[in-house]
Amino acid sequence: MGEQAYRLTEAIRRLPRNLWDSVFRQGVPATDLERSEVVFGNFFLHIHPVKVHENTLRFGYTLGLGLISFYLFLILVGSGILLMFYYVPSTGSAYQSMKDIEFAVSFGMVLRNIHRWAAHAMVITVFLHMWRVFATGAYKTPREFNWVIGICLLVLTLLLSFTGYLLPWDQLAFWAITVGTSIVSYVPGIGEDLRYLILGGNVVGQSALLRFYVLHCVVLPLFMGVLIGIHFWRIRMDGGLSRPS
Amino acid sequence: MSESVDSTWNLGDEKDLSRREFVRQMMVGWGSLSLIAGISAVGLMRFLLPNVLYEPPAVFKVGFPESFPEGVTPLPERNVFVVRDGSSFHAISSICTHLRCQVGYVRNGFQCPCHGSRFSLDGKVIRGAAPRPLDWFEVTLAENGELRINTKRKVKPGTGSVLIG
Repeated sequence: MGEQAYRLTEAIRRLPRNLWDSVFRQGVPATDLERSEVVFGNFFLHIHPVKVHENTLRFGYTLGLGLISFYLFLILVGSGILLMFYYVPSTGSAYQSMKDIEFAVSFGMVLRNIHRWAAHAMVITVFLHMWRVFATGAYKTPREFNWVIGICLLVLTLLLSFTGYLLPWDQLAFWAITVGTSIVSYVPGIGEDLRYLILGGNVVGQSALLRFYVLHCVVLPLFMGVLIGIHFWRIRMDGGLSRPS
Repeated sequence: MSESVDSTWNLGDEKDLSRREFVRQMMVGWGSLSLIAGISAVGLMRFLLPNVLYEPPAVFKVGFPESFPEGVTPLPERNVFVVRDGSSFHAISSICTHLRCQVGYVRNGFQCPCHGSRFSLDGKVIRGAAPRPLDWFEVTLAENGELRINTKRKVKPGTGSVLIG
């Protein structure tokens, strides 16, 4: 309350400036220290280290496969949310709504295919990323833990791929999930119960479709997001991207 | 406000909490937390196992015996084959014992489209990935004279048939 209160007209006159200043709190950074502080203090930029080793920037070493996988994940989240506006996870309407997305919704065909191809591509890039990490020995000390997180991310990618496969509710989806969940029933001892738990019944029906929908749209992406965060954070903790010394 | 800054972080005299008391409190705290987590985990598992299923019934009538021709009649909606051998009727599952695909009726047997398993007309494995013969289900005559199949009652191959006349 130390400052003198504005008059109303004065307050209105200053409003644009105040709004601008509330977002852009510092001026243009002039020194290297200020520049690094901008990166450090920005939520979106702080993922990057303030200083980067020259060899880290060599594209040929990592091929950018991890980030490509991440960007594909973002594309999948974006297109997936949009598809959710039209898709109905019920055995009576799932196939119809999928066809509606393709033929009755503006840009629906594009959106569905973006989601479909990005999903295929993500499985491939995650595998290639894993292969690159293995080939360059980037799983070795001190990065073992991040390798383990990476394995979990691979499994989540495959589970997302599998659960998404059922949602079009066509013959391909139905038999793929029938076969896939039957493989589960070969687990010794608890196989049949595990299959019952996954399907919410004995056959691939309404409960299975709903379960796969919830897993695909909520549960698995949630775990994925958290683990991606840890995965990126570990890169920094383990001394940046692995690189030729 | 005469206390020093440091003392505001000192939530009580350290001597108040003996080692024994500390361990006791930790055990009570973590113990009750684990108990709640354990009960919740069991409850979650139980919650996810449905008690009522809206699935096709396991016991159903398939029609009057006279309506079936000699030999194999596929009923894909019911996942069974009704086989008529003169005046004898039996039911064989059309679900492959490998990974639950729908087997088809081919010449002198059944074939699975998924992984190529072949079965003889009585369900025995001739070739392929299937580990067991096709299931045989109990067939009975319903009160109104129709054939009734109970897929909950598996019978030994060659038994469980109904004889007419």
